[in-house]
Amino acid sequence: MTDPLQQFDWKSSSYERPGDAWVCGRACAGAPCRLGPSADGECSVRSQCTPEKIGDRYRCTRSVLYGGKCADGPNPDGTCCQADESCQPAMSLMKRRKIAGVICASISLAVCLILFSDSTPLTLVSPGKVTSAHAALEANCTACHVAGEAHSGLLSNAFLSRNSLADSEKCLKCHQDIGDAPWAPHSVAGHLLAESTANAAVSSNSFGVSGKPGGYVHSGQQLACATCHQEHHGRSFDLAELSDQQCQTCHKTQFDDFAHGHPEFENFPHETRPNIYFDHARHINAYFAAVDLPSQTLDKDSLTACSTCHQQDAAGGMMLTADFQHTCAGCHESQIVDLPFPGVPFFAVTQVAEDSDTEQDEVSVYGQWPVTESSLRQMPPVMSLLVHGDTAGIGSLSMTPELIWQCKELLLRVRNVGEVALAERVPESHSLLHGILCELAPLLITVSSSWFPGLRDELAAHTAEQPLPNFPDVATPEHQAMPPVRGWYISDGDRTIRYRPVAHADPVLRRLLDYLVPRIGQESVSTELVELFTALSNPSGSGEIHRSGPLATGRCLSCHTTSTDRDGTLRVNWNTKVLGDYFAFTRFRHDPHTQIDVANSCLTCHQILNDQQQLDFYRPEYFRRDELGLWQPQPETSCPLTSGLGPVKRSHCASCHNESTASHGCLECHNYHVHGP
Amino acid sequence: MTHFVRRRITGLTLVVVLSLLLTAATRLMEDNLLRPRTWLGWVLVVIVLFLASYRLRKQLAMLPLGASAAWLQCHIYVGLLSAPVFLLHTGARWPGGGIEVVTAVLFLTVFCTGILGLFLTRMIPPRLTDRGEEVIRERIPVFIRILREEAEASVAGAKNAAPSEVLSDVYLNHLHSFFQRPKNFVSHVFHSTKPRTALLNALDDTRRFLNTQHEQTMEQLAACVRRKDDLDYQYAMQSLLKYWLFLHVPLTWGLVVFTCSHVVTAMAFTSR
Amino acid sequence: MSQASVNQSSMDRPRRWDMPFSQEAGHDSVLTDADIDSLLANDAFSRIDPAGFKRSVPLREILRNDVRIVDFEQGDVIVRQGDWGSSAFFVLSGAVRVELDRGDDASSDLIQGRQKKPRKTFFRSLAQLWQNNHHAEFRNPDAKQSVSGNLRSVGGVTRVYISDVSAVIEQHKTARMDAGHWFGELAALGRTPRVATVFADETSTLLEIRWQGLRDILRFDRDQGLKKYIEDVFRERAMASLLRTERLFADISDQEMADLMPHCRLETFGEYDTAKPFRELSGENAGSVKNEPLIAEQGDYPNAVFLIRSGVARLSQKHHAGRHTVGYLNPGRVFGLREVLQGFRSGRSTGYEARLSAIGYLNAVVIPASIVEDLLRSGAISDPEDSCRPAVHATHDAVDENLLNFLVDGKYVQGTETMVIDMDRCTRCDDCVRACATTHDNNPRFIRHGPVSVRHMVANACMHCLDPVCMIECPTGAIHRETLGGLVLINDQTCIGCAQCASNCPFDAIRMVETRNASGAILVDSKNAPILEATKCDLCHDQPGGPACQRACPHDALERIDLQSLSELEGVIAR
Repeated sequence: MTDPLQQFDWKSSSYERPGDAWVCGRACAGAPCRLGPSADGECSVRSQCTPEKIGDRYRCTRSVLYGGKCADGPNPDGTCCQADESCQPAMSLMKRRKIAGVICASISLAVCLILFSDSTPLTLVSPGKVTSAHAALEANCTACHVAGEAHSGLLSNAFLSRNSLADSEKCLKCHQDIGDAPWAPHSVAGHLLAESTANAAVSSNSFGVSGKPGGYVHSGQQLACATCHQEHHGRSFDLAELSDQQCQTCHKTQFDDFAHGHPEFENFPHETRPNIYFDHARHINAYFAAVDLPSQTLDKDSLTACSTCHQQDAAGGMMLTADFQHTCAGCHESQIVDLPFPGVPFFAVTQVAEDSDTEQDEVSVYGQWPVTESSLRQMPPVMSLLVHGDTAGIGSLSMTPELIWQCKELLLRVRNVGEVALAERVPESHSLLHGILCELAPLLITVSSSWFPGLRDELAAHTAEQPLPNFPDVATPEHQAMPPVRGWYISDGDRTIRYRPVAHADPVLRRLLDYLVPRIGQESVSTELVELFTALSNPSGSGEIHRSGPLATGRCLSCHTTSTDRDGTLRVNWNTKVLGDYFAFTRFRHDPHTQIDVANSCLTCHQILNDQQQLDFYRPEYFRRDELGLWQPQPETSCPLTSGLGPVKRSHCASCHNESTASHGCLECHNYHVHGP
Repeated sequence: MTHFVRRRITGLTLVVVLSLLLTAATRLMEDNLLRPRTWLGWVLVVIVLFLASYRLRKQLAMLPLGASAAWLQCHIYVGLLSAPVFLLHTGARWPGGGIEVVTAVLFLTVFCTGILGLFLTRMIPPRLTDRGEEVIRERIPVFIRILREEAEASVAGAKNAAPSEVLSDVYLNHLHSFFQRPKNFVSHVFHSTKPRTALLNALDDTRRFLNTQHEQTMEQLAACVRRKDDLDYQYAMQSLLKYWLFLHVPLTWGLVVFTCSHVVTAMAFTSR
Repeated sequence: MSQASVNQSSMDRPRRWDMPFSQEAGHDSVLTDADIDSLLANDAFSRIDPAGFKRSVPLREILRNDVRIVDFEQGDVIVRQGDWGSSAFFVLSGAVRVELDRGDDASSDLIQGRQKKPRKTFFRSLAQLWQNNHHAEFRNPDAKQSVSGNLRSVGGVTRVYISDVSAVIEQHKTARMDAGHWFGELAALGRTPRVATVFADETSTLLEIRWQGLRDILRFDRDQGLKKYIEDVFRERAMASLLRTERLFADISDQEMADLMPHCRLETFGEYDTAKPFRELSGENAGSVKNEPLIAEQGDYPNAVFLIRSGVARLSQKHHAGRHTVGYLNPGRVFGLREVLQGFRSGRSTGYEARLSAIGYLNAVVIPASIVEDLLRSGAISDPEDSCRPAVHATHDAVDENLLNFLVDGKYVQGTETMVIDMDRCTRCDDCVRACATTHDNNPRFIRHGPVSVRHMVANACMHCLDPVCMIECPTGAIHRETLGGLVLINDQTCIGCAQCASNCPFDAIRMVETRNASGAILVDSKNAPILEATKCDLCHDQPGGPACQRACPHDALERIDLQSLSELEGVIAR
């Protein structure tokens, strides 16, 4: 074994000082001096001196530690004669590493300071590309970031301010159709959202907001855009993509996916209150199947085909119901129009009430009043309203001489100024009736001439209190019980102006119902009109009530349902229900689905019910036959009606929209940003 | 099971468990629209600062701040944990912005050099112990000089013997530069003994031209070559053990600076 | 020395008395025959029979060469408590005072100019970060001057003296010793620290004899008068307390102790000669098991139990042509009890299981087996196996024979804070050295090199040995033991840079350094020779956290290990 290279004794080996910054320059040559450089990096060896000038000679000043004065002394020119034996100290590894660290830190600091200086475009700080839709804005950071505005301190933006709503305002500059309450959940104001939740055909416990979503909610439950939409993830990033779990972060009812746990559709459209009472089940199973089908326009096959009545809209999303003419008219038109119904009198020369006090000749009292045998005994309600000009529930329908004169004045006035005379008599609250009155006016003008030829003179004489002139009697044709025409009809036989509903969608009846239905049960409703309504409901159409028979207005309402509006008023549903009346939380397009199996596709989801009991339960009960067999209107208008269709089952949907087709995300069918009705 | 093995298993288990927990927490936060990236970013900042503080602890060796070995264990395992946290924070996607790219590059480089350092510090010391005399790296040039002088003295010959021209030639051609300074760094890093064998063969080849005395001199020379080669090995391996830190530590400074800028820009523009 | 003498193949054999004691360590006087005659006339030596002495070691020569006469002025400190000395004193004329106070009240530290360095607080420790001097080995020149007020030179010797003796006597309990008394002999023979400070009460003349001389007198004095005296004194002063500290004898009654003591002997084995540096001698003997002084041979009839008092002994067993080292003993351990016990219980005795040999030097209390058997019989020793500390054996595979031999041969088993570095884990990062420097004003106190056994290096850092040979011959006591058995520290202010400790340390733990002033220039004395000081590891005794090196190693490679048993080492290796 050779001698080891190292010797450990104190004479041969001094301390190593790895923490020092400098090492002897001769170390790499293998001959470092024992003392090493000073801490400042100077070699400790001082073999040379700095000669001191004394007079004109130089003196060696070498320290005794390094040998003292040298024998030769300084050169004549004042330089030291000795060779410089010092080394150039080298940096230790530790110092080199520290310098490398300082250099690295300095470069990084410099780069960062340059990046953050005002003269550097802010786009250099961008963390990534924006989506292609926003790419045009990419060069302008302030388009989206409040923090990007000039003189907006980076540090204060980083740690002091909360910019989410201010930034969201910037989003709205382009995205203006978010809704009225863009920071509210679903962009719908809180109270409206609550209402919608109540209206949703689901049990009340679902879809309640569970709590603060995402921590990005300020007071008042405000959600900034950035809560869900994060940019700067590249050109093809989908900003609107959110996972099902993220949607559920707000909702109380939480579930795994569409097929497992999503709330059932709660009997849609089975329990959805349709606008037109049409029980698919009864019709298809009972009526259409009957041998003696009364339809005049459609054959049996057409009747049972869904597409006969339901067509897609232009956009292909919704199924619209065709109008009456193309659907129900084939069977029901005749029901509406073909009943012998003499019509409802709006104006009648009624028989005057016997007054024992009066003994005078009637003619001298009230002049011409061409009553016939068939004349009505009481004034029709509308006439009473017009003649009295007062809706304070007079209800008196008996004709008196005073009323006759008022009637004649009315007629003259109408002849003079037209329907204005009638409109004056109707209070503001009955302005809906003006449409009817416009149609009545010309007829009144006609009868004022035909039945009251000397009207002008008579009234003039009455006004002057002079004796009334004589006028020849007006001819009285035979009274026809059933007017030959529909609509307005002047019936000379009983001296009435009658109206007989024309057909489906009769305008007069419609206007009347639009007026009356909202006022059911209210005090402001005119008694006369209620009686008119009752009269219209009177099957005999004689103007006399309490007679059984087919009804006109009731027939409207036997197919058209009523609904309560958002503000509580009742209204008649004249049209079929169209989606879009509500907030568009859900979107559904029929056309991709109907393509699958065109012939039977409707029945896949919309099954016709067969259960007879169910059918009976859901009869319309807006009118109920009383003990006399008369239809009486019911104050309760929220009777459940049914379309006769079974509920669309979620399982039907889930049979395609499930994990294997990966088309079962929340956003597949639901919208977050819901635009108002 | 030794203490070290137990420690390793505990550390790795903790890292795995924490990674899984963090992944689950991230998922939960994402589902709740809580933007976990920000929170994870802060976790990463704390991790980076903690890892960087090891350097500080080394400077404060005089204070009772806990054993450096314990700190190193924490440094290693927290460093390993930083990788899944980094992946979660970036969403396993390469970042798009300038600052972010530089920060990511710095982080990954520091991380990889850390892993490299871990391997080196565990693999090299036993190899050093097995070969050659245990010398302090800073003194190796001194020992090389001693060996060089010894070799040159052998070649120059004993006082009363003529030196061998063959050996002088071999020395000048092959050994002179060999004995100047530490050599064959790369070969030693890859544990190749080719240079050593080549030199020894060069010496051995002269055997047929030498007399007995010169043969003895040649053996002495060969012994010097072996020892010098061992010193080179020590030098190369010990240098590796120091050089890897030249990447790991200075880049950490840069990483800290860039992390701060990234934090400031992210927090300023994150619309919270 | 001339050129010729370097190359000459023969030289005069160095002899024991080449350097008389009277001329050693700064003293410069010669004992004349007249001096020796007067000594022989003194009571101390008059009864010694010169005829018993060997011809090569006659009494006169012992007196001439191993003795010196030293004068002390009033107040001069003769020995300091805690010092390690190797000489005994006899008061020829005058009087001395022995300080009886122990512990914190002792004035010893103040007397000898030692300022106890308090442990730094957290913030003081932190302040080292910026307060450390960046020049190497900075010393404040003013600090030294303040202490030197209590130092004076006498010839070549530096003496510490007490300026106000009466004050010390008033404040502290002392005992006065007049002429005719010995002191310090136990410490000299037993290589234990001085138990008390002794200073001159008045102008006195003392005889100082180094321990070799004392040993020879004790050995060859047929009359055994001095030996008896010393042993009596030992028994009177120290033996009982020593024995009492042993668990083995903890339960015996005072009467039994009094019966036991006359039979116990205090023996020394092995030798060392202060004429040559200790290291050279130990280097000669290193590793040679065969040459170690024998105490008890394997297989011999167990007629005594050995209680090691100071030094280290090796336990070895014969194995083919050599010996297996199976263990070692250090102070407080007992050899031979198991064999005696076995013999006592079974009625048949077996020989010593292993050979006991002294590594360098050993001091032991030898208790005859019959006494031990009596105590066992009477039940005074209740639980022998539990209460005695047997030899240290390697119980774990971790410490294999190689390592054990390495530790024992190199005498590293002395160490209470041996720095062991696992080279398979050490990355040579020097964090340990840097940490050491940080805690010592930027000056490291050890070097990361040292002898290696396979994968473990014992670095050259102070091991704070149980038996610190470095402390022998420190002229000023600058290198001292903090408390009995505590850390070995160097007092900067009183170190004069004589390099005795550095030369003596067998483990190259002490290094001499050039000191510098605040601007980095080397401090020089009036002759422009650099002022050196001895430095070594002080185990960071003034730092709040303990040894910085161990705490600073990132790879669990460096440990400070107490080798008084192998459990710590085994625990470290088995991690």
